[in-house]
Amino acid sequence: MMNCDDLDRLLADYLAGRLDDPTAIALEEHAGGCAGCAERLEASTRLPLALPRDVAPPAAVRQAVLDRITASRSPARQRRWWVPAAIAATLVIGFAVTRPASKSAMIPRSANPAAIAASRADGEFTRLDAARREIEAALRASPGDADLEAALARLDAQRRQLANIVMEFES
Amino acid sequence: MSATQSLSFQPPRRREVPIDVTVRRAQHGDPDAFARLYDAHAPRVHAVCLRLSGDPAEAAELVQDVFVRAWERLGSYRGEAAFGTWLHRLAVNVVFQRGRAARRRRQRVAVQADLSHDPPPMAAATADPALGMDLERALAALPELLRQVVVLHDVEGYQHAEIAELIDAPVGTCRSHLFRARRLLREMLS
Ligand SMILES: [Zn+2]
Repeated sequence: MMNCDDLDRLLADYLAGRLDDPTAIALEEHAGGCAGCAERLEASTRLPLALPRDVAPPAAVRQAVLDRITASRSPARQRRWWVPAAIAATLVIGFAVTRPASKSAMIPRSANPAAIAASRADGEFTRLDAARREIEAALRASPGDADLEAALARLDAQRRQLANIVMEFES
Repeated sequence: MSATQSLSFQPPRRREVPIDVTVRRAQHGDPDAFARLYDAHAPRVHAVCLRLSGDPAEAAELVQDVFVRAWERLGSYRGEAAFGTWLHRLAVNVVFQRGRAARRRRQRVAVQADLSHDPPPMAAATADPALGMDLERALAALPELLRQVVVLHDVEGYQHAEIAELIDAPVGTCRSHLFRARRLLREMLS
């Protein structure tokens, strides 16, 4: 394990790129866990990372986004009675078990139901994104496949339902 | 026009940033308004996705996911920060959630050789660090985790505590990743 004196001794060589990889890594690991050394290294290794703030995405992305959002109604305009009871129940049961049993117990900020709903929904959205991409890839291999298109439609319907639930908890 | 009408019915709420009319319209389901938001913000979101993923094809998919997610989550935007800031946070979260999901899938699928040590499929950067493209290429050539840490810290201005939460590692690890990333960048750019 490296200590502050070692770092002091090796710093010039480190900055000049003269240390072998294991020694450099050991130095970086020490600095990571040592506030004083971290501060020294932070200041002496800063890079001028001047990069453009904006990089235009490929034009096709815009249409893909607009197709996906206009295929659905706006979540904001949909009404709560569209929400299938089964999915709503899953989330509500989830809250019941994660909330502290006693009302007098300290409820951490993270136990706020809206925050829990949002973070669970985000995980769900991520899974749906991945599933969507798999179906899209399969569709590229066999264009027009009715089963795959139906699967895509079901998936998007699920997304909208989920978006509705999140809206409800947040409003 | 109907959006203007609904503005007057908003409950009084303390907020630091007035919600822009275009955002308000998009929140009420106007796809044209959302298209304008896309046009205004997509290049910034894309830049972040590109640098965090280091892969143009993945970045394009991520931009799509971010904006679809933004549409679904617009209702949760209450003007606590500028819309661009809200979207930026959302983009970073989408990138990391996707990364975590992908890692779980990889772990389930197979125990393969440790992929994290494979050289990235990108030519090592050369030449003038003053040229943004070389820097972009050098960033893309870093191992994923190191790239994410240095991009968030040095390009996007995140604090170590925030990054540590995103990459699910202690702050100390996050710092040493930053130092290592900077060292590899220096080597690639010199
Ligand atoms: Zn030290």
